[in-house]
Amino acid sequence: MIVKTEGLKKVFSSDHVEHPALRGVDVQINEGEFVVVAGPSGSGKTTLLNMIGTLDSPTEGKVFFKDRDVGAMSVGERTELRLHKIGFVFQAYNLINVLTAAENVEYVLLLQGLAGEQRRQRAHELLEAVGLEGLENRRPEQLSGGEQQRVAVARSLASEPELVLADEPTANLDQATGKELIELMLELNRERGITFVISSHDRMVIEHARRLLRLLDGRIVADEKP
Amino acid sequence: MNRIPNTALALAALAAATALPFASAQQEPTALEIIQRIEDLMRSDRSYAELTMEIITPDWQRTVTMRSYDDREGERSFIHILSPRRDENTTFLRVEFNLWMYLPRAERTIRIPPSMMLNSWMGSDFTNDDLVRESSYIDDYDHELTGIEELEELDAIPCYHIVMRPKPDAPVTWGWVEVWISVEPLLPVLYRYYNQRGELRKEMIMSEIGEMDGHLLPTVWTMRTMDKPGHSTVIRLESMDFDADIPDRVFTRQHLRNPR
Amino acid sequence: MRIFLAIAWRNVMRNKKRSFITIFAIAFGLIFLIFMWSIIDGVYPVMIDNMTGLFMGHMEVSTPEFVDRPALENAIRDGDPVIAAVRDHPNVEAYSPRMRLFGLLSYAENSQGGVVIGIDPELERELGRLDDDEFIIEGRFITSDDVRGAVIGATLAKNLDARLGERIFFLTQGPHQELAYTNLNVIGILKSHVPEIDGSMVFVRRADLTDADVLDMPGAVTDVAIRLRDQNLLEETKAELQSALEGHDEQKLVRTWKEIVPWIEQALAMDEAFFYFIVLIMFTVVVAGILNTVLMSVMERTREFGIMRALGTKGWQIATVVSLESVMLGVIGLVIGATCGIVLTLILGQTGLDLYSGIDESFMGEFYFFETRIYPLLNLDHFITTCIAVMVMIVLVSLYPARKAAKLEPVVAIKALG
Repeated sequence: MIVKTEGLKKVFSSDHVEHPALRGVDVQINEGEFVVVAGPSGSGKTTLLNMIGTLDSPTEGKVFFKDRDVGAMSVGERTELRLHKIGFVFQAYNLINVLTAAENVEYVLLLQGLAGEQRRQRAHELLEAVGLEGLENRRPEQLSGGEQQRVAVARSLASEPELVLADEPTANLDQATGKELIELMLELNRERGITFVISSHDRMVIEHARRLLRLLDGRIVADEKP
Repeated sequence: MNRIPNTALALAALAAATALPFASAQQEPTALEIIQRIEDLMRSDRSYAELTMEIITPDWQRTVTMRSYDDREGERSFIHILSPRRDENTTFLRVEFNLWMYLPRAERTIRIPPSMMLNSWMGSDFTNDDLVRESSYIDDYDHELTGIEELEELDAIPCYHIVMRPKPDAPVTWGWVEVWISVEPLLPVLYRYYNQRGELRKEMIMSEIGEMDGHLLPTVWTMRTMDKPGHSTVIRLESMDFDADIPDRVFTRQHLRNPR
Repeated sequence: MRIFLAIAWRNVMRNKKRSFITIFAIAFGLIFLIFMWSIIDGVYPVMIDNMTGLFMGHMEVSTPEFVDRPALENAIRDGDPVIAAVRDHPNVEAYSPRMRLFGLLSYAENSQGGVVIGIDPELERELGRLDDDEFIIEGRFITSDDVRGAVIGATLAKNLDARLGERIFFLTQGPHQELAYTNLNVIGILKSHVPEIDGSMVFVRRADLTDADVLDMPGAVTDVAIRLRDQNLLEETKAELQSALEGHDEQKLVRTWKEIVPWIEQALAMDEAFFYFIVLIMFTVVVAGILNTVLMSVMERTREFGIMRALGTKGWQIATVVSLESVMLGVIGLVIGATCGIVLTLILGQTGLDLYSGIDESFMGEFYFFETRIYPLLNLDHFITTCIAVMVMIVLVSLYPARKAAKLEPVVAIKALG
């Protein structure tokens, strides 16, 4: 078991209007799984991912990361968790604008305190693994959308996380590029055993799912293994 | 206080010949008459005197010698300072109410302006104004004889006490002046000068009656300024020539520069 | 740490126009401050020096009674012990004993009240500058050999219609109320643009006044004027001299120029207050500008910061990046501003700045003893203080945005831009 949620509820309030994003989610994700969380916009996908990724706290319920209650952790402990155990790929604007592709990947390693040469090696490897060798010294503005997302993927793997969360990673890409990206992720999942949880409402992504969680109005309505 | 020395008493006989008291007239004299009488005794039409003036202050003392020429009727007088060296040949000319002074080392004649009239004359207790006021007692004042007094400070010698008040238009700075004149011999003994607020400002004591050119008169005049304790000016009459033959040219401004 | 420096630096470079404006604002503010302070540093001592260096000196010793009533009876009878005490003090650079007499000055039929000042010519030359060529418009200043020689103010000369080489007459009162007088020979005419001096003063040898034939007060002085080596020790020197003069017969009073002409210090203080006010406004404007820039740049990168937080960047690290950006802008602005400020000040320090041209020079002379050219002076201490102050201000200003950035919640930040 890598991540477990119990009775997860999240309510957002703004201007005295309450918006319940999650209405009670119980799910368990195990190591090595390639999970796609599907659902229409507003179904709570992003919120669920944020909970799992310790980026946000639930209104009710608990989140466990490998038997540790995330809610009981301090801000510092959560930051540590994100640094070492979890990788993120966001929909867009993933990268630090002023750093090169290689530096973006190295960034996480820097936060971890890895030494210079080792860092560069690893970054190089990862960029190679995502098929971006030669583009290492380019800045995000010099890369295409798809290339940027690949860098994001490479970066998400940099810290050798156990879990990678990707929130609508293909939303800003064209079909072909998106497909390449998902297949890359699948490959990494198979080769390195990293757990992936991907949220999307893209059919193409859903088709690649090895486990599919359907979310509707803040509740899981299906848990399939197609 | 000053005593009229024994000499005076001894000279009483001489007094009988000159300073005839009014007693022989067998009538009460008026104040004006008394004033006029002593005026005649002390001065004449033209007189010449040699004087010594001693200026005494708590931390300083100075002796000035001078010659004085007086034309009573013409209301003119001339003073020639002989010593000390610093003031040698400084001269003063008074004509009526005007006063000129010659400063030998600058060879310059200045007229003492009204603003300086109340300044001290030569640093003494007399003012420039005092120099020009002499004859005005008769004309500018009303006189009142208040009686005969025997003042202790005057050795209880009987004196006519006369109060002189300035006439309304008189250009006089005093509120009033009081004079004590000894009955016998008829000579002024004490003058007291009061300002317009009734404060006693100055006091002059006439003492040491002596004979000068046949006249009997006090030869030492001591002036004190009341608000300057320890200050006094003593004028000594060294010699006096009544009815002197003084040419008119003495009383001119030219004479200031070249006094002889 | 290096990565944060790199991020900060590249961020600065990313938005060149905005960074340039911020740097410019900082540099401009700094130049302004350096320059303004250098004007004060250049002008105030000059103004004070003009005031005091001409004739008054930094300090004056007299009897306390003389201050209220400057009459001969309040003079110092025996000036020698006072002169000795003054001369022996280490901070006294020059001194001039004087005998001031009020009286009447006449020439032919013209006369006027005035002050005849008996001086020791060589000492007065050391102390003051009235003997300078620029002030002596005719003839020359007196020397100790000029028996009854006099230098008179130009306006006085005009009023009396007395000319060089002619004799004027002075009449006054002696110490015992008797008349004292003397003739004086005009050997010089003085134009200082100070009305009191030009309109009523006559300078003669002190000996000519204390002479037996005039005052007969050998060794007497009415006051002793003093010029100091180190102006900054004004109050200390005053206290020291005052105690050195205790126990003499007559009581002595030491006064500084601030007590003698208090209105000057008040005028200077008013100027200084005005300066600080301007500086404050300047500071506020620059601070607002910088704050605006940094805040805007932080707001723009809210999502980026959020992502960095999501990746495991600690709050203080984010704050560091923001602060570093401000510091970099600050340092560049500082270097440019400091360099330009120094250059500007040094150049103008040589050529001078003509600020008051067009105003009648005698007006300025009356008001400020002022020259119309200003020479800014660069003071190292003030310069360093200004730079440090600006740097500190920049760091402080950046703290607010840095803190804001550090406190961003990752989720909120990520949502910020969609």
